[in-house]
Amino acid sequence: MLIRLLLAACKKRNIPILYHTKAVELITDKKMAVTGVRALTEEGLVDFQARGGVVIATGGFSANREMLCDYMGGVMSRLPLRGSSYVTGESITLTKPLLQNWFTWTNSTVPDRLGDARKPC
Amino acid sequence: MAAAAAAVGSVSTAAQAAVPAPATEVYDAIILGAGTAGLVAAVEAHDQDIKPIVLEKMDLPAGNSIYALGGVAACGTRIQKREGVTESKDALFADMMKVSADQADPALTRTYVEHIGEDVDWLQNTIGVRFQEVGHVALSAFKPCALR
Repeated sequence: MLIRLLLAACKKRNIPILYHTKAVELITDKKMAVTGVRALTEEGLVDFQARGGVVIATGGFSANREMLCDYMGGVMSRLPLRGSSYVTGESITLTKPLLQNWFTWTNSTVPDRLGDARKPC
Repeated sequence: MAAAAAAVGSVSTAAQAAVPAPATEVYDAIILGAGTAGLVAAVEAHDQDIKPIVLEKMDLPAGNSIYALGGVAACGTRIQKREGVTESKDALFADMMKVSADQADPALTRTYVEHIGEDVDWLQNTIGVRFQEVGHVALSAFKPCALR
């Protein structure tokens, strides 16, 4: 119900939502700041350049056994899957080449003004 | 053998020539994931005059949001104020840390309790979510809203 209402709010605002569009790489500038996303669409690769920033809002990695073992360990990595089988942490993996100190979860917010999201934390 | 090598050579040359650079599109904010977080970010970005686009790998929002049962732990919402519920942010923070056995990120949890009241009001006012009752969670002392 919540998702249905949010989709309706996006539609009312003509916000484009592209399905079957998989982020495959974060595009960075020469200072390693994230400036966009390369995505595989049904028509092939498209580079989406971000004037303000990139928001990774893809959730965690509850359906990825390997990441659960790596980051949670113990009994957490052996729990039966609850919820979606598509929450596989792939977008988190995209941040790995940027090194850990270039990324914190505070990047995952809407910037108050354009440009803020580009600053490494 | 030479013919094969020549064929391979010509194939790879043709392939290189046939791959154009990816098309480019420019937006203010690129949002990955069409779940609750991504769609909220998109709506709020738009309303702040930031032009967003949402990219979703599946053919519908197929993440955990659609499995949610409809409750949200919150304090300081308009509904709670109306019903005389006065749980503090600190009490909610303490409960969330306790429920997670102190495994939750304290900074994230603090940000959550500081803003969740106004965020629930935003869901009502801007998105049209209707909250019907204030319930209780047995594990903890705070009184979250139940969303139907």
